[in-house]
Amino acid sequence: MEFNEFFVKGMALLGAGIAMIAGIGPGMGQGFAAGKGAEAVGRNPEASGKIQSIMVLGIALAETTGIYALIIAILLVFVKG
Amino acid sequence: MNEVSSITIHFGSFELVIQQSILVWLVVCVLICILAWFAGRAIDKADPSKAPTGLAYWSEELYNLCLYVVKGNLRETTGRYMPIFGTIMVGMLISNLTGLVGFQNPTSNVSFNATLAVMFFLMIQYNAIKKGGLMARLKGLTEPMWFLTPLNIIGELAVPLSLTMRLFGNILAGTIISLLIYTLIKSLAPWGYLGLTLTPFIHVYFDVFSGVIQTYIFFTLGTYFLGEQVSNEEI
Repeated sequence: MEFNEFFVKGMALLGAGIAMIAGIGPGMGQGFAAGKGAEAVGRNPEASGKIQSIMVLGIALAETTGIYALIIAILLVFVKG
Repeated sequence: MNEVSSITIHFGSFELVIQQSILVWLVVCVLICILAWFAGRAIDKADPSKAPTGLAYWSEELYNLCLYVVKGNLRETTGRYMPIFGTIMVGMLISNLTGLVGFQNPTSNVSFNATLAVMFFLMIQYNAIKKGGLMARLKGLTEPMWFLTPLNIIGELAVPLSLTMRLFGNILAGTIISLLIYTLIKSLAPWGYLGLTLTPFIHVYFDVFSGVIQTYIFFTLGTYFLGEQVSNEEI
């Protein structure tokens, strides 16, 4: 069986789709962080400004792994696809 | 992505292609220089006994914004490192917002982000070695136990990589998604033009929110790693 260019292209696109399964992780992490942030505000409403800034920072850091997956997907689509 | 304009410079047989994003960055640089010159003149003229107005006020607020980001991490060394972080922060903030006027963001070019991140990495290492000496720096890599040295080295090298990729991925994703939406609007004309009512929200999220947050994160992390090495005060 020979691997022609269409096979490579199709596999690259499939791989891009599979890579984005990594979106589960950051989604769960961000949801967890936001839930805990809401809990903290409920317990201590005076500190809501500080809690919000820490929460946004944590959420953006949790996004990193998702961004790595996104870069791999973009590379697969635009370089091989 | 085919309509991105670029300039090609020929040196004999060697071709140097300057992408649109880098051209935008050069324009942003010139604009920041002009703005800073006028702001400096306004501050020289301002009366210190009165509340600042106009451009002097805005530049003070911009300075306070930069101070707010870096001060928590650099602590007592803030004054020493403030000029470079403030300059690059204003530059990055403006270049993240250029998507609003329809240009490609300079930060969606990986070489721009990598340049800044590698520069931060070299700055952190240089200042750490300058402060404690080479031996103390190498000894710091063997803590808490000697066999963790490879992991510590990987951890140090991961800093510029993660700084680059986080910013690049976020901004590039925003650029590509807004490009896709505009393509969809164009291909679904004339009803597709109704989609133009949605695009302001897309720009608010991907350009303003994402751009500002990513600038904040880039500098919070960069100054955190620097402050860990150079600052003596406890948090």
